Amino acid sequence: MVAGAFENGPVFIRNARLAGLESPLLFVSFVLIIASSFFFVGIRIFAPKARLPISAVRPKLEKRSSSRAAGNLRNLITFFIFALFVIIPSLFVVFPSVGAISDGTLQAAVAGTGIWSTYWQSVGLSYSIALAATALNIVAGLPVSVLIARRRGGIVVSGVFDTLVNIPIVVPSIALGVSIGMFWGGLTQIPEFWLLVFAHSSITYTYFVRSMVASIESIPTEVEDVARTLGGKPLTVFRRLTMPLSKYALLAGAIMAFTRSVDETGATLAVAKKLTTAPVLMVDWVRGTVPASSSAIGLGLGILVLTSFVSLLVLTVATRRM
Amino acid sequence: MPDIRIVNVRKEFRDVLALNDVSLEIRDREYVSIIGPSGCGKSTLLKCLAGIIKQDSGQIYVGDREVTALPPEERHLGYMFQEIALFPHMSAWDNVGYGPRVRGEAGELARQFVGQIMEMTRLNIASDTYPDELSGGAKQKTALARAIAAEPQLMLLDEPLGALDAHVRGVLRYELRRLVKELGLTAIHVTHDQEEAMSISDRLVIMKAGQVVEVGTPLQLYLSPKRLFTANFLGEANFIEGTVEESNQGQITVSVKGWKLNFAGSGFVKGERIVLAVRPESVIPAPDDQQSDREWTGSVRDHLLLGDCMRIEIELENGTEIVSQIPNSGLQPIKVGERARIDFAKDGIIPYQFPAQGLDLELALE
Amino acid sequence: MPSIRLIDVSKTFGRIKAIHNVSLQIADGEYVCVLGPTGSGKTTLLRLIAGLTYPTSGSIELDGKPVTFVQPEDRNAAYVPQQYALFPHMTVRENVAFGPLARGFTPEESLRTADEMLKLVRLSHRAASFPHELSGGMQQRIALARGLAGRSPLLLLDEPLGAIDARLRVILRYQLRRLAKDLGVTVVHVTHDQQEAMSIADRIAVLREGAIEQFGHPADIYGAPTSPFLANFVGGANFLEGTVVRKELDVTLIEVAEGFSVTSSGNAHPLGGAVVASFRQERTSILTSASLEENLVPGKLVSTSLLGVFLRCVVDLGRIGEIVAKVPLREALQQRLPDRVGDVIFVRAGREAVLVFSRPERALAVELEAF
Repeated sequence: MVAGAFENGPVFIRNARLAGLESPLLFVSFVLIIASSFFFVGIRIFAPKARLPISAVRPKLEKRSSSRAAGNLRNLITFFIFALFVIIPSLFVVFPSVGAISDGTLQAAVAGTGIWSTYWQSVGLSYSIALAATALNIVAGLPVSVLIARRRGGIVVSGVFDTLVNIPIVVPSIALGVSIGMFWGGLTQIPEFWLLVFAHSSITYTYFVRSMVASIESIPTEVEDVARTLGGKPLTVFRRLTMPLSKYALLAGAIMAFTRSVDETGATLAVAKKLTTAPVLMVDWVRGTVPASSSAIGLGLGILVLTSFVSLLVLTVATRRM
Repeated sequence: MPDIRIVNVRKEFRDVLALNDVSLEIRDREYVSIIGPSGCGKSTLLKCLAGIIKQDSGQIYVGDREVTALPPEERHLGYMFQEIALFPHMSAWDNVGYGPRVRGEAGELARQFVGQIMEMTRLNIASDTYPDELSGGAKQKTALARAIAAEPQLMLLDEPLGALDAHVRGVLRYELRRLVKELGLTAIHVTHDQEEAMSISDRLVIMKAGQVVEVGTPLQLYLSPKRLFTANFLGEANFIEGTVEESNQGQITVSVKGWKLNFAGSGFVKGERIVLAVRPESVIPAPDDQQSDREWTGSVRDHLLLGDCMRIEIELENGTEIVSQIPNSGLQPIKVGERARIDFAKDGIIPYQFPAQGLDLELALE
Repeated sequence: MPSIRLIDVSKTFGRIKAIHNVSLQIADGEYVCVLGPTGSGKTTLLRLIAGLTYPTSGSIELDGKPVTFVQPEDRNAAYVPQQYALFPHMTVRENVAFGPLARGFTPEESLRTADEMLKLVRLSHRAASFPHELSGGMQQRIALARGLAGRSPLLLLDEPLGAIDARLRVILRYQLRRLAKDLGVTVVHVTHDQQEAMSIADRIAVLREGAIEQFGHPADIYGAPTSPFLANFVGGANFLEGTVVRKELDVTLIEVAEGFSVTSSGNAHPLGGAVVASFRQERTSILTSASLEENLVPGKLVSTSLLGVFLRCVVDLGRIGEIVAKVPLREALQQRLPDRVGDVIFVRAGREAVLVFSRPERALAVELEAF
């Protein structure tokens, strides 16, 4: 949306589809998936063995750059960059939203008239999908997390799982979207809502699992060892020890998966034919495919930003407690 | 190397007063150990001296220089942690050579210097050996060599042997002293192991709850501790409570649960409550076949061979328990259950006023 | 019937043989210490008995029943690891009640047992606290109470006093033994501290590089060690390498340096044999004047240091080497030894105090784990 002429991944997928360029698209996606997987695995294996030349010491330069003034300058520059590139652009949408209050758009939004009825429908859809996908992730993710964290099945097996779980993050979203879209999209017998849930699960699974694995790994194995020698069967140990000690990680992982699902555009575009989620609708509004005033766009996006802030707050509280 | 002076240092952490007006003087080339139970503030004191922690008030002088406000890298100290903390991505030799490198020295001269230090610490390891290939003792020696190679004015050792096996600790501690003395350094060694401190220090500083309890040479503190806590913390002791019956002409008579005890001493008044500290090795047991109800007799409750000593627990007829520890002479000890009488070695009884806060609190090791 | 029986147990991790054909029998109610340096395999041995890992070969029996591959929760052997591993999210009381609860007792019964145990370790007043609020010594007692609450007949302790201050350790170890004896539990207590093992074990199993070096009563291990390693690791000793030059009915003469021989009682070694003569530091006496006694040699007093009950004296015997003598403090002060550093004095060890070993295959320094 910024560049206009350029198109990012998800939009590219959709347009390519519409233009009938499916085969080249599939080929490109395939190549990207394989290449990034190899790259990822390669780094995993070889990076620890590399000896980087970081032991060189430059006393005078380091002393000067460690002075208090240098430290303050450093902090100032960093904050400036952070503000300019992250904070301000992310929240810029606030300005048109403010305008929406004065010119009557807000009333329309609350009343749900006109374009706003589709808006609230899409928002509702996005959140339902996210909720269902997250629940699915929790149920399917817990056993795998334990497998990876506790190396059940041996070091090799859990290592393989650990790598595979990271694939969705490493592979470019366009390739991912096409692949997922192809798989789930082809199963036309299943209702579209569930297809979207499954597609979103595929993408957000990794966030949940990573959070759980990190937490379970941080529980010393002796704690579980002791519990077992005291007579606790593995399920008892999981229920009364592992879970209570990881409850904040579970919450954090669930929230990350949830927000990622609400966020997801690419896979949705690849799968959905009739249903429209909130981000997809926003794309249409911005591109003008569905006409909407600029203050409506601002307000619509603003509401989404606001709700994600709530999620952010809960996430922060949860991670602090971990 | 200069003297160290710590003046009225105070440090508070949230709701705990870690250091409560601590003052200390350490002379050039002294090997001083600071000992005390966990939480007494010894580590905090060392960190303030190193500059790793900033004290709330008080001053620190190294020689004539006041270093109170200086950051650690400008105080020219060698610091050794309990966790050993060798740089894992550098070889052992490179670890030792880190100090000289940071100071800007490099090349052949520096390499020779590192070689000398390695030889001094008796570290025979190849130049391409990495820390994870070394044993615990060798790692500790490397950490020591690294601290020395930085040519510090003062060696600060924070539980340097804490991560090692008991056996290795018992051997390496003498190496530590030897190196420090050979190089003519001043060393301040913090540990919770009082036997370790006693065996290698010129002077000991005993701390409890953020304050200095007593300072002295090992012999002074072991044979004539001025405080009850010192008597309990440095080595073991039996504590006998009683009342003064008589005190004149350098002799004190104390009544303990109906029995009497006579020893050389002064400074107490008749009727005063008193606590006597008697080290186990000053309690000498002998078999007692007589059925008479003599004083200071009882039956042997347990005897344990500790190796170089024999530990005998005796339950006395007056209801108290006493522990004796005599060197293992290879002779047969009195059997468990048999009657024994005890004698106290001359000079083995150290008297104290009964503490106002109660005996348990005064002696508390936790 | 022995409580624990290990029959030729071995455990390999990849290429490392952590446990090497270990056979052991521990009787019901015995307090056994497994003593050894770090890396000797003590923790692995404990975990094998607990069922947290399985042997590569050999078998394990508990109370006469084979349990080699039985799960830990079915073995009834309570394990207390080095860092205690108290459950951080439960109160002290809930921690201690976990065992009975997991074994199927009702919550009321479990809490009652927990309260009993807490009274035993004198921590009833902290029942509602959380583990992180307690001191190291208290945490150790809670870990113990938790292990005992499940009423297991077997208690497996991994360095139970390792995290405790040296001074407290001396007090707590006797309490530990008394508690175990009062409750009649069999204990396997792993440690690297020979003083600890010597003072509370009924029997000690010395483990070295995965194999048992000697298993016996403390008096036997101390009085009759079967190797120089044992004489050094348990109690410490002086060692002189030499050759047997004369052998009579009950006396052996060993030449350790030109012109100097050590007399030892016993005759187990052949004439001409390469041996190591060793004598305990506390059986080495220091005399301030010469005499015609055997095993007496002059030397220079290099240093003295205070050990408490003893004064440790290092004496340089010239070409014979350096030896350490532990002199009872009172005696040492009477002889004014601390002031005599640098003087010539005399060292003596009685013939019955000299133990003789065959020269080990590896160099003596390596055998004694000098580094």
